[in-house]
Amino acid sequence: MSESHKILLEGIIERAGIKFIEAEISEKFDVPFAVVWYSLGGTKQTEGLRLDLDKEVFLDHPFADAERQKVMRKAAREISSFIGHYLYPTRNVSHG
Amino acid sequence: MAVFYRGAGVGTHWHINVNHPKMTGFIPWNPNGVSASADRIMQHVANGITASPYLSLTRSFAVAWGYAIFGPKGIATATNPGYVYEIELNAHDIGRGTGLELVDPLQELAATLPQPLVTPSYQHDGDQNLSLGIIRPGRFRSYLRTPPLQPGGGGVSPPRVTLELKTMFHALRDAEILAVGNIPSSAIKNFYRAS
Repeated sequence: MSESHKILLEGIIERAGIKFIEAEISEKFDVPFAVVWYSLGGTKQTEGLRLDLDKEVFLDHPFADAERQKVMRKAAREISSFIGHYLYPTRNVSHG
Repeated sequence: MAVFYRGAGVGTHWHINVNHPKMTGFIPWNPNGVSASADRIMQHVANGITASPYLSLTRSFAVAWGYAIFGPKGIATATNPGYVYEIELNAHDIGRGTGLELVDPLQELAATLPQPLVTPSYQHDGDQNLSLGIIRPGRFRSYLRTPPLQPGGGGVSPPRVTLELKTMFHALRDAEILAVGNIPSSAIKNFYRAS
């Protein structure tokens, strides 16, 4: 059995040449992290980015320029929310 | 004496195949030489900005294990594991003259929080479920969005969640202690494979 599950990140908009491809979560452990795989300028990167799903922040910071850093902060929130809806589709409605 | 742990996922700076802490000790990544402060604690703990004077440790082996499972090279496997390091620190290892301090982020932040009469408060104005939303937004996001009741009727704005409050919740999640300064290799007593 595969120890991880991959979630396609369709709908996460490409910005500043960064396209987010898929997020990998553990099948084996209930841990609030994912590894996010992405391409830069059309080239898939060999290293992913650790995403803390509770803090909604990346733990890896590969870019020095301010524009891409801003893109990454926004993307971390979007991808965390996307994964939350994927994993818990009925828990993300208003409890009004 | 107290025991702390730190997890290192596959491909992270402190993974055994990249930099073996037993050889080098742990050194915080602080390229800009920024100073330790409550603001830096919040950036480090809540915003994940690790270019700081701090190195995160935990009192929980299980928390460190969670961090060891995930790395930039992917999720740890039996053939490509992450590692959890066990660090033993004594009173003579920290404090004046040693170059190493340990900081409890909760205690540091609490000392800077405003008194009860000060507005705005660091406290939230949501209901009792809000903490679930802060701790685990993926599962309980609705609690972060629903306007809390206000005197005279329903509110219109989502609950107020300050960075101070988020930082304290996240630090508690990770049983987190911050090291300022270098942790000598002699303090690293064991390491465990995680997969």
